[in-house]
Amino acid sequence: MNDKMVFGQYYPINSWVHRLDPRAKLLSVLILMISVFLIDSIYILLGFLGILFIIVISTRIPIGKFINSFKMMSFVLVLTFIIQILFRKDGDLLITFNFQLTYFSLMIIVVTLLLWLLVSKYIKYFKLLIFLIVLGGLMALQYYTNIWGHIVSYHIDIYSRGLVMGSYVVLRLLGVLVISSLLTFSTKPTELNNGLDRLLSPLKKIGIKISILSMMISIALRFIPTLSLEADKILKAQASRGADFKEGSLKQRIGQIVALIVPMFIISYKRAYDLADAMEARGYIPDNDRTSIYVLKYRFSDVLTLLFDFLVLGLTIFLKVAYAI
Amino acid sequence: MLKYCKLNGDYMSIIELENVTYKYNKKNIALDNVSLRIEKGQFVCILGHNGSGKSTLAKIIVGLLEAQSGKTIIDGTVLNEETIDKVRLKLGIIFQNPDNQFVGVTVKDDIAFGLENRLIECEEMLRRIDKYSEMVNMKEFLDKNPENLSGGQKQRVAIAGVLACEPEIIIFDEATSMLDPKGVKEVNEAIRKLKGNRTIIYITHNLNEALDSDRVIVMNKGKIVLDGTCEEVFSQKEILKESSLDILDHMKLIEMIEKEGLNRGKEIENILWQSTYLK
Ligand SMILES: Nc1ncnc2c1ncn2[C@@H]1O[C@H](COP(=O)(O)OP(=O)(O)OP(=O)(O)O)[C@@H](O)[C@H]1O
Ligand SMILES: [Mg+2]
Repeated sequence: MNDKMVFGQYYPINSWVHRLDPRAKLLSVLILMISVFLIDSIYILLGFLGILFIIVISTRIPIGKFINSFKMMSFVLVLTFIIQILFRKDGDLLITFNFQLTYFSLMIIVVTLLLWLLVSKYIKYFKLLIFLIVLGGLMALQYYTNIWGHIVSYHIDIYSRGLVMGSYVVLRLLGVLVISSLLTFSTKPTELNNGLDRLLSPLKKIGIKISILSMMISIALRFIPTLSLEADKILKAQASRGADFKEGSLKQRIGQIVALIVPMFIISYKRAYDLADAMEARGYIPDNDRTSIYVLKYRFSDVLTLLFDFLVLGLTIFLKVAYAI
Repeated sequence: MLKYCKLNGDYMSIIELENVTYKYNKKNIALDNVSLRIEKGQFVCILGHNGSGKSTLAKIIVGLLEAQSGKTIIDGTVLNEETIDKVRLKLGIIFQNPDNQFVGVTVKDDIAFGLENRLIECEEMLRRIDKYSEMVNMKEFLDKNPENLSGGQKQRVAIAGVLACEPEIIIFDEATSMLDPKGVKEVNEAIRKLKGNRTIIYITHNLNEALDSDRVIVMNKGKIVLDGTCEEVFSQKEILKESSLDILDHMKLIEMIEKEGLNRGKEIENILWQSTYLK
């Protein structure tokens, strides 16, 4: 649990992506994301995802890690797909589904949804998939049956454009997910912070002091595990006095959460106060220049990576323009 | 009251406080007209019970608090808004709570923190980190996170972080009070190595820890009540008791034996056990 909080998603191996300069990685992510959003042909998008897949394989980060992050986003993916299909009304009309809502089907829908609310807690795997199948079943019920008191009939039209746009959005989101996961799997939060700090430091010239922000991030990274250990201790202390955070009425639960937050707040305040003293005593002055123990240097592989990124970006822009004509 | 030594003006002390008074609020006077001179290279121990104003004194010296009246002079420079940043380079302080002064995400980052503030180049930084982490026996932990360290180890990292900045004055504000006996021993070993090289102010409420210092200062209610060598201070049993400080274990023994001979063998044994355990 603790390592998770210190390193976030970081997967500790030594691949070529891990060895890249964090600045190069951040820039790559930016450029590749722009490319993903510029591409407007399904085939090119698929090709792009293919290249990403090859890169992923070459890092030897287990594919399972990526699938896990898809799972977390799967609800959003499915939802956007459904919304696109329901609301896009251009292109060719592919198919029309006629549904009849009757008292019979309404009753079954209500019962099923209630059942789902009760049961869903115990479903561990493929929750979304099972839900979609149940939903499909309910729609099929309305499609095939027309008994017991007709209430309303409605129809859903599926247009070709909706299907295409739906796939676009989903594939794009997949691309974005792979790119950002690749970054977080291969870069420690501290490295990321350093990279961002160095990358954005020229903003100082227009009066934006990124160094204070990155110091804040690094302090947060330092104290998140400490504070969560502390919260854990308080939780255990309160549990040993009979508090239960999972049961009880809403009011009781709110009371228990307050009983956690108040001591946490006081402890953090005391810590912050002490820490500020310690930092000041060690010569930290917020606006001043500082050197860094982490020297970042672009190496040949970083340059190569950035060249590749720009190549991809250039190609997508070229194809976009060429297709438009 | 004992005075450590009267100095004539031409000899410059590294720390001078002149009539310093500090109040956190109207009622509470944490430092009451304190004057103090500390010479370069001394190991000075400040004793006092809870709330006697030791930490306040330390914070005044390192410029974290500004006195309402009086003057603080460090190495010939009067502390004020303009001079503080420069004077601070000569000062280092280690606080009580090992967790709340660990700034870096790893040991290495933490030792580097003060160096980064001082604009020291990377190579020199690495050299110093190497040197001082070795000195406090933390070299093999350089890449560890603070969660994986004991309190004593964290305090030694804090010491390395201060040493790396090579300050002339180092203050330990009850640096060992939150540690277990093993941690206390480790940290004290690291501190002993510094004796003689740096001006050190060691704040504690444990008399036994003051035994090998050059000079002992006792505080009570924001005032300095005793000031002198170990022997001089520890013989003032009355004032020590008034300041709510327990007299030394071996003093207790001598006192007891003087009064009643060796009749109370059991108690003597207990005291001996305690004092050996503490060391
Ligand atoms: N931040 C603060 N706000 C208000 N009063 C304070 C603050 N810090 C300390 N005091 C008060 O000032 C007095 C001196 O405190 P100080 O921390 O200097 O004592 P100390 O000798 O270091 O004690 P300890 O052994 O507990 O560390 C105490 O009465 C304390 O209550
Ligand atoms: Mg104190």
